[in-house]
Amino acid sequence: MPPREGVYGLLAEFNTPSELVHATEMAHRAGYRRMECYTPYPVEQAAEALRFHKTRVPLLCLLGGLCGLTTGALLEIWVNVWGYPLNIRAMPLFFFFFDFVCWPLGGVWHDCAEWIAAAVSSAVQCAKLCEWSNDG
Amino acid sequence: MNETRMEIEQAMAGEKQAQVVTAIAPAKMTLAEVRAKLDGKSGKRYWKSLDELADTPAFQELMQEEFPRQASAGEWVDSVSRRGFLKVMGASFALAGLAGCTKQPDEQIFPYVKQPEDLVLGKPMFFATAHPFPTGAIPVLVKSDAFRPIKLEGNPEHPIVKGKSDGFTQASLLDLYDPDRSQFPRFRGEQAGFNEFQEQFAKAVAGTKTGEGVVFLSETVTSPTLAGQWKAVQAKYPQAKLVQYEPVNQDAGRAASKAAFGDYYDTQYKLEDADVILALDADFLGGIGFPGFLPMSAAWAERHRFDKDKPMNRLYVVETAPTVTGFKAEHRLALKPSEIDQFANALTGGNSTLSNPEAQKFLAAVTADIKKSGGRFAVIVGPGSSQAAHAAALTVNGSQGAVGKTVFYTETVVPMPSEHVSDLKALVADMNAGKVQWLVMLGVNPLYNAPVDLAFEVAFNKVPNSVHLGSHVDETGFYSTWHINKAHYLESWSDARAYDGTISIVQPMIEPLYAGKSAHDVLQTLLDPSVSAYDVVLANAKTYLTGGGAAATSAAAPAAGAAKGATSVSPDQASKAALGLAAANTPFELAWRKALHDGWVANTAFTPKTLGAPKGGTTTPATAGTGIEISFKPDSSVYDGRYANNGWLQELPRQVTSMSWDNAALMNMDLMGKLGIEENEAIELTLNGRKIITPVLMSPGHPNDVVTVQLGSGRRAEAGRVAAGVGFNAYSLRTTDGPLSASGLTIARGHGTYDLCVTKVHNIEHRGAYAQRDLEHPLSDKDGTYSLAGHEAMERSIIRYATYEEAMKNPDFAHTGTKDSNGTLVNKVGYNPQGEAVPHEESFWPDNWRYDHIEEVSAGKVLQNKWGMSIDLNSCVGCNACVVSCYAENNIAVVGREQVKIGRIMQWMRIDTYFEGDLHAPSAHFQPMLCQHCESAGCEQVCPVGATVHTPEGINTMVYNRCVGTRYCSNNCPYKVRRFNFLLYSDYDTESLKFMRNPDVSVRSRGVMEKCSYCIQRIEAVKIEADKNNRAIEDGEILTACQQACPTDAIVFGNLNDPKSRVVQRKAEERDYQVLADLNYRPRTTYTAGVINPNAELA
Amino acid sequence: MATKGPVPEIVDPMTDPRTGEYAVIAPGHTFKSVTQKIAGIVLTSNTPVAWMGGLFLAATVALGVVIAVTWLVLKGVGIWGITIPGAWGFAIINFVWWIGIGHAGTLISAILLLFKQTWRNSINRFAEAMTIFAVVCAGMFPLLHIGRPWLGYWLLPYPNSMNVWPQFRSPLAWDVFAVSTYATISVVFWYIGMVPDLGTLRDRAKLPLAKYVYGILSLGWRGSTRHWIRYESASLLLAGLSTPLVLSVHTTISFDFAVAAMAGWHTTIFPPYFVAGAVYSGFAMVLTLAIPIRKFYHLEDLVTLRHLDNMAKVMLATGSIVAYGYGMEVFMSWYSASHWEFFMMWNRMFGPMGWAYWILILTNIAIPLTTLWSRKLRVNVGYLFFLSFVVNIGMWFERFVIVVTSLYRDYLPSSWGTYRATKWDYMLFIGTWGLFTTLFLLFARLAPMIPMSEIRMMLPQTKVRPGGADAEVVTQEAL
Repeated sequence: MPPREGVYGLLAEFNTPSELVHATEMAHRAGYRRMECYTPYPVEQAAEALRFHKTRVPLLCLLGGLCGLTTGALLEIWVNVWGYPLNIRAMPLFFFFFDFVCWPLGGVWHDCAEWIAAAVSSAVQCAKLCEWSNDG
Repeated sequence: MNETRMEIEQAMAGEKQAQVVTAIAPAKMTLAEVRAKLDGKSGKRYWKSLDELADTPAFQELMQEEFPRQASAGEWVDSVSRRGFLKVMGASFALAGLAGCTKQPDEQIFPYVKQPEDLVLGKPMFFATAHPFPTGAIPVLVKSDAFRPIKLEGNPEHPIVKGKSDGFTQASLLDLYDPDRSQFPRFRGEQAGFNEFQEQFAKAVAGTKTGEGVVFLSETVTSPTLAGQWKAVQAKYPQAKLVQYEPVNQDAGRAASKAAFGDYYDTQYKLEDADVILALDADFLGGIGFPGFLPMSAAWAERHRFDKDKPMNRLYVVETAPTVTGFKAEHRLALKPSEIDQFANALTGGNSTLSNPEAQKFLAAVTADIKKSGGRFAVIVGPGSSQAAHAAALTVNGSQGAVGKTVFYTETVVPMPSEHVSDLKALVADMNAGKVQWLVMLGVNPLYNAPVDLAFEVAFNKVPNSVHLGSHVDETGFYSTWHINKAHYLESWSDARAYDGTISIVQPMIEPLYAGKSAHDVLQTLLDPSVSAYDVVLANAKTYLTGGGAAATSAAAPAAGAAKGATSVSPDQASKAALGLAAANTPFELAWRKALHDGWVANTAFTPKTLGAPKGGTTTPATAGTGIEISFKPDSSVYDGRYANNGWLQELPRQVTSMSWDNAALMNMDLMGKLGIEENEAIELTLNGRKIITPVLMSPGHPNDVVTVQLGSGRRAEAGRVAAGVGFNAYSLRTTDGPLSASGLTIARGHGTYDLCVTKVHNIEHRGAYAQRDLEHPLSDKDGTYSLAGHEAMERSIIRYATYEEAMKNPDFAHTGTKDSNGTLVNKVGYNPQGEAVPHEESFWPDNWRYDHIEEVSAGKVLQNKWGMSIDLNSCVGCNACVVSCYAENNIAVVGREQVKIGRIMQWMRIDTYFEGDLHAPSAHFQPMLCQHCESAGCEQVCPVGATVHTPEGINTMVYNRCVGTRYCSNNCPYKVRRFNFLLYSDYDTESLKFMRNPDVSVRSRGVMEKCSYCIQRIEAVKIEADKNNRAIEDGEILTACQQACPTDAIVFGNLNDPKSRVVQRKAEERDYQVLADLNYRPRTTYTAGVINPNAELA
Repeated sequence: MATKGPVPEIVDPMTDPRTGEYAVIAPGHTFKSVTQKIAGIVLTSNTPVAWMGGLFLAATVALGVVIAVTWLVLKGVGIWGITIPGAWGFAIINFVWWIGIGHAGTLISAILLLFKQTWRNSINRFAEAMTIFAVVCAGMFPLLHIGRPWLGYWLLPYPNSMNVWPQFRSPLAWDVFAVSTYATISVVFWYIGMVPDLGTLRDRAKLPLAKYVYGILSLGWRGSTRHWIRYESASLLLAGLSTPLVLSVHTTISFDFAVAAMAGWHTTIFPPYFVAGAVYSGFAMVLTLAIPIRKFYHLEDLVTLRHLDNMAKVMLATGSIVAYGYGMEVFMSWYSASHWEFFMMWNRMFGPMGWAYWILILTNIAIPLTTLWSRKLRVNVGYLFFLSFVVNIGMWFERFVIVVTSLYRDYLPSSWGTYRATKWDYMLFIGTWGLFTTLFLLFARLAPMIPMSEIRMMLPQTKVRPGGADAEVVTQEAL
């Protein structure tokens, strides 16, 4: 990639979060959009100033959970009622009430898997970002 | 079929004839050929050949023919068929690889059932034989799989046995396969040949001309043939002697009989007709150590069943050590041996009054009851009773009119009755005097069990030539000049009489595993060594079988010789006769064949003798001793020590005490308290200067100031790996003067502790007065004189019973409870009175799985099977026969002392014993406990892998392959009937034990749970058979192993959907109840509450 | 929260002069000082000798696990003291105990996060690490306790050639899901939470290897606002997911007992009482770890008396719930009028193993619940350290009492037995302490024990004032 000419971006360092937030807010009002703040701890106001506060991760998580829940429930129902209808303690075939404990757990487990996936994708994203910014 | 049979016979006899076989039946491969193909190959090559073999068309044809169902085309892919094939192959391995040691004997024996006569692999055959025992033979039916005996049952058609059996008989199977058995004859410890012995012995004896200095010391001779042989030997060598010695013998009875009638007679009891029974130290419900155990316990139980229209018998027992008989009795009086003599004396009407008021009251009640019975009573005495008791029984039975009604005198079951101890005493004197040159010991072990005052070992050293015929190189065999390995009765030909005198032929099931010899062979050495035991038995049979003529009335040997001669004259005919192929030519052949087939000879039972009134009257009893007495009892599991190397019996919890792998000095709490002894303490017993060190076990109901020790333990290392070092040797206190009991015992403390191995309520139930603190109800029972476990068994309605009067008044007592004298309800459990089953409508899902499915079979529509069991607690005598039977049937592992001690016994079935009331004089209840096959089985619900599930017929099955071993099922089983393989308990290495295993039951490996399956293999076998014949299963066709063994018919198994089945009838009784019913597990096994018939005067 | 004690006359810099409360963090810290303090523990090239010694000792003890497990696999579970009727013994007791200990970590990291209890920040990282290591120790036991451990995977639902599935009505099958979920989510939560700090370590590391490893582990963390927002929402979500786990895992484990029909097991009070007990023992274990660590690494500024006080208060609360549970068990055994329950309780108290019950009462109730009311003792580090052991012993005995004394005197008196642990039981149990300590020591040396970013958040400098007007003032304060 050939080196680009001209001003690519601006970098500023602030001593306090208040200054950072204020500056970001001002920059946003001034019409700047491709901005990013770097802080050693989460500063929510900075995100507000950047107008960045929505992610789709919770939705993904919910879908993953529901998916796990459904899979678990269907598996158990299939195993107990259709696949292998065994006489266990003379119980009704669909009698696994206590198992409902497992279903949310299955969902949670699925969520964890989602989360690992999300973490990896975020890492990849970060790496891309790094690459991109290294260009400059 | 006969042709096929011959092929196999011949093939078994020799390799060469295998070719002939194929010539006869060229179309299909024979087993012999299978064997020939595999012969000499081992390891990889063996398996490779096997694969090749399986692919040959000839083999498949064989399969098609023998197993059309399994082998039909296209079914090979089906897993079930494949398993069937493997099963078939497995059986043929046994034949192919091991023919050298397991094969049918050469002589003809007859299968019990007619069809199929042939060997069908995987299909067991049944043969009749008899288990010889000093108190009378037990005719048995042997289940033989590929010619390996794998299970013994009582002979169902025998008039006395009626299919029942006992623990010793059941366990004698393991003796056959005992890996510690002596495997070859020895001369001065070195391997030698039997023929060398024969030469040496015959020559030496012939040299004496008269047989002087030749003495046979035999165990009780039970075989009429052997007695005949001895007569022949005596005729040839008049100076030779035969002495019989058993450590547990009937000397007291013999002496009493001789004194009273001038000769030896046996007493037979017909308890069917006895309303009142008094047993004087006679443990007639304990096992075959008591003559006539099987018919007597059956008759007692029959008369003890509760039936409104039938009076119930009443049993009184006066005894020292608590026995199952004592605890099944309505009234039990615990007395010291010397007091029993006094009691017996007083019973005969002697004017002595008893010093013990309790005994006096008991005596008065018994006497009154006997008088009232009008002759319908019996005073029972047995091998454990003293001579005074025997004399009293003879007198009272005679004077009160029992003789001829319930008591009969017959000639003795053993052909040569004698008084063992006095005979042995004389023999030892001869030995010491140097008069004995050859001491031939047939099955005895005097260096272990001779009375200690005889110093048998000293006399033994003075005998230049000693010969020992024994199954093990035991204490005696080790020191004898010659040792000859004895054949097991399942390997040898003989005969014996049962209790009623009926003769059974003992026929071999298997070629002797180690070419063992029998006493017949040893005696025949002096007659004609070329005549086999079979010939002798056959010849002797002519004396009692129809068509036998009078050929061999006096001496067996000439007759045997004649039989032998006959075969040499006409080999054709003889072999035909021997093989049973030709039609039986003569009545004798017919009768012989029938005798072998049936297992007994009709019309050989004794007829009662009419004897006069007994002479002599009362013997003067010893005055009741003031000191501590000692009583010697044969062990209920290892008897006199002969079963000490039998793992099943060693591990079997002893009757009443539930002690496994040990013996102990039994005493009561008072004596322990007096001496300051605690349980599990090792004490020193001193009698006449002789000492032994033994652990102490508190025995509830034991009389005071007396110690009971069991014989048969304390074997030395020579006895075998199982027996060695178990317990202490009580013989080292036993003298000729006091073989049953002795006085003057002293006890010393201070020998450390010895942790006994007690299975029931491990280390809880048993304690001395000192060891009570944390075991007892400290609030209500500070002295600890009752059993917490027994108390709880009552509280929890685990045991329910009532008296006859109560039961008549309220037949539903098992459910509504009995009221005590204050009118308060006894036997109630917590919130759910009586521990009753949860009402149907209160149950969560009572009808979710129903067992009323209509099955379509070719015979039509039938209601499905629904299996269940009922156990009558009134009949169960706690004799343990069922437990040993279960061992044999289900390949249960023996785990050893240490494992049993911490609670890991593997028995699928156990006899729970609960002591009720004051432990000084408790009553006890026996309850067989096995998997209850609950319909709502808690074990199933908690198994995470579904390794235990219900079958459609309602059996709670255990899928060993699927089990991962969480043991959760065991925790959730309130009956604690599940057993876990904590370690690798099954013996996968010992070759001989592999032959013994039931091929229909898996051998469980480590980490797997197991439990009673209701003998599902038996159920399936009958189902298949019924299916093949297109019929329904009949009631009684399926017998579980425990049911089959039970001498009192306490256990009944059957189809709950068959309204006519016995189990349904039993369960319909009002007394039927479920144990722990309020847990709503809905057990399929239920119990019938007991009813006792106490005498109001003694209440 | 405010415990009214005498306000000390000499004002302690660690206390708030108005309330007398201890500060959550010592005054005077800056972003830099916090980072240096925490990252310094990891990034120093001078490994403390005491740490080396401790690791050696712990690893030696952990060797017991290796030996015991090897022998176990060779011989079978029969080497333990389990029998019929007591088919469960140390393995299950230890399993429940270790799993229970883990609960404090999850509670601190999840529930306290949701409740915005900022004091949790100082202790949540190593509490979570404790959770994970406790789960490692706990997870071993269910697998090892089965008769054929090599077939343990049969408890997982997976399609197989034998066409068999787990039996979903068994609590043990639920355990598989509960514990595996718990382990997974704990690890994810722990790791996600550590990412910013790993980034810090990456940036500060001098060694190329450390840079490389922390670089990989920090997943390209750069501290941008976008990262932080994702990070925050991830933390919240994971906290939301973990919160039910705190309750459900021990509930499921209590079902192992409650679903069975044994008297002493079959009770509905078990779930809450197990969860409370778990938190109780978990906080005790956090104290056991925190007290020596703050001393050793001089972290008194960050893990202050306030933390110890708060944890002690949680223990007081959960301990009271546990006490209520014990009381209820006794009450119900009488009130139910069930002979089984009554006998079980009588035997539990006065039977041959009554001593275990009274140890339990002494250590779980008598000692802690009488003394923890005193603020003086709650902030007495030495006493708390002692008490943390007492409670952990007590909670172990609670499981011992539940497992053993219910089993060995059950329904049928004929099968009553006793329980005696063998040396292999002890070796495996003590071995897991070694394993736990080893893992924890490694964690302390190689990962940031205290979340730097979250501590930074707690500094007063982080306050954003509107308009950035007071920037100068703040800057001065910060410096």
